[in-house]
Amino acid sequence: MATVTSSKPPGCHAADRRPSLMVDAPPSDDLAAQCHALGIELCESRNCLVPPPASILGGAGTTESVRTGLAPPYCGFMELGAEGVLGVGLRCFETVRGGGMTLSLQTATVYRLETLELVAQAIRANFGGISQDTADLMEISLAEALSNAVIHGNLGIPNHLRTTTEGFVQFQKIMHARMADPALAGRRVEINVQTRGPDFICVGVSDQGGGFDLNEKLAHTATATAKNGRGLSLIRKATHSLHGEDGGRTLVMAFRR
Amino acid sequence: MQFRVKDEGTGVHVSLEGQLNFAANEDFQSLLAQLSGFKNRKVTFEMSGLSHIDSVGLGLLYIAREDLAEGGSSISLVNPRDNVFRMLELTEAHKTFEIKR
Repeated sequence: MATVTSSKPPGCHAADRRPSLMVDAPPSDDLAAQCHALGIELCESRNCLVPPPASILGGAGTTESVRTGLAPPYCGFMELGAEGVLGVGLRCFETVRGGGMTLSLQTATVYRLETLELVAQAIRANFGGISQDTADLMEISLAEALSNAVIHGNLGIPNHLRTTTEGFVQFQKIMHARMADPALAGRRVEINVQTRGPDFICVGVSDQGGGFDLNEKLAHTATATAKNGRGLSLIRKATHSLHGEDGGRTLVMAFRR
Repeated sequence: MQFRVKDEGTGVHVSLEGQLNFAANEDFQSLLAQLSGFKNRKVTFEMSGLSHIDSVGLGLLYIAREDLAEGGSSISLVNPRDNVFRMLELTEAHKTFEIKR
């Protein structure tokens, strides 16, 4: 059996990998109870000059807060709304426990921020030894996975609309309408990055949509001039390996450094 | 994504900046509307300012190409950055578009 080791991003080296959630504002009783139930330490930054090991920054989803959370000493960022960490996937905490980096944002925030840019920069900075070629392939794949998670996963918009100018206009209308629905816009997109042995980096992208059958989708290859439907086959070309989990709600992409 | 359109007589120069991706908003719609006014031209998409493109963005370029072809115009993609060029390569976009680096 292959040995799985975990090379941790800077600032995330810790003997005790119990994740901590660091928040700026005094946490509500509800958030405290949620964290307690999950076995996560909750820290308020004014009481904690040095973040504990395996800290995840929590707060409003802004470019600055995401950038801060994705850099040492933090191991990730979680957007916190009134619902606290309800809805955050356990995979995020497990990733941090395993020495990786996590990001959990609501759909509207993924759309509003330059999420791809922020995550790609963080991966390059936190996980060493990635060749330029691999970094390019990782960005290409991540872009496709994020697009799928938002459009098809969380917003449930079908593919076929974007084939003509008129279809694109219709697509935009549906996208805006669904983004205005708090239940859909509040669904989470989560990105979890971990090393697998010395040679591989795994990037998982999860959504909270209906899921899909990856093999069935991959079996239908888009033609060269198709205006949609090439995202997954593009990811397959760009990754070392690709598989789906959680009923197709998580895409796990492995890259050779 | 931001864009600028410059009419250069026989050709039309379109500069794209930022990310051409799933979040491409009414800007691309507005670009398509502007381009629909040009007939029988050679339209050059300057891509050096484009930091990322995804398959949704590429799909928009296919739509633009098809719309322009109806008016007798052709399209070429010039100066894509390495990562953008890599994406175009992987999707075999060169079979459809003239791509110049």
